[in-house]
Amino acid sequence: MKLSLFISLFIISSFSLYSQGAISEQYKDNSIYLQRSLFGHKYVKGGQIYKVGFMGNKLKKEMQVNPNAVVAFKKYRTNQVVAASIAVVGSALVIWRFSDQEYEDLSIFSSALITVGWAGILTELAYSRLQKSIWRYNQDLLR
Amino acid sequence: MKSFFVIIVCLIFSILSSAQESKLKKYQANSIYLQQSFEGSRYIKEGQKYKLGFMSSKLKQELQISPNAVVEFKKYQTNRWISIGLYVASSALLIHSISGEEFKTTSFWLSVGTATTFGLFNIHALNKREKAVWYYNQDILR
Repeated sequence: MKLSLFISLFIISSFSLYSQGAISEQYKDNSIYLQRSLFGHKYVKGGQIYKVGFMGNKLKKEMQVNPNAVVAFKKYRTNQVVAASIAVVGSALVIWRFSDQEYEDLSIFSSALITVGWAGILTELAYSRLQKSIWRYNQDLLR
Repeated sequence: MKSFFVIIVCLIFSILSSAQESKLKKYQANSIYLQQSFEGSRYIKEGQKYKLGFMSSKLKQELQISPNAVVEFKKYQTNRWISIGLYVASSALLIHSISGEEFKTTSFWLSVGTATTFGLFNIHALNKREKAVWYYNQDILR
């Protein structure tokens, strides 16, 4: 009886230690973090670098498994769409004004600056949503 | 004997689930993520927003418990200092190019080149900070 109790305790403590290590390993292999580059954002998972894709399309597939992450991810996409729309409309406006000889250079420059500024701010806000979505995804790996 | 094994198996399962539960609680209480807002950069811990501080000095204090995070954070700081130096140089060159009677083309293009290099170093620095936070979140689970 004493021996079987000793064996049981040994097995239980081994399982306890193993489970602690296994959870950490699972987190290490499956968790995600973001990286910036000149040509769009990237994400790292299991030491491999992947492209986030246009409007986060490629990362979206990863997020699908987690409803909490999906909510934040949708907010990221909305912000990103608004930022892209401002950038496109602003650029079109600048090109249109550029082609009009009557406009002074200063007005073209200032509208370009405002457009780039707003698009940049909204892109950063969208990036924050993406970070929150990834944090939620990483958290749910522990459930 | 049979009931003894049942108890052992039950104990193992409860240990596994409680280990998972405790890791999750630890993660929820201590993990960090970065955020940008109209007020500037912040980090979030346990649902609370905190300022990063100059050169993310406040974040640095949080990361101290993770040796891996500290290594990455030092790389962030080095790259950040270089990028600040390049930013100052680029601004000085730009001012020099437009000051005076004549527009100085060489200074202007040097300023553009320095600004581009600044951008690259800045991106590299921010990536290192991101990786440092990831290491920290990983190490709080150990």
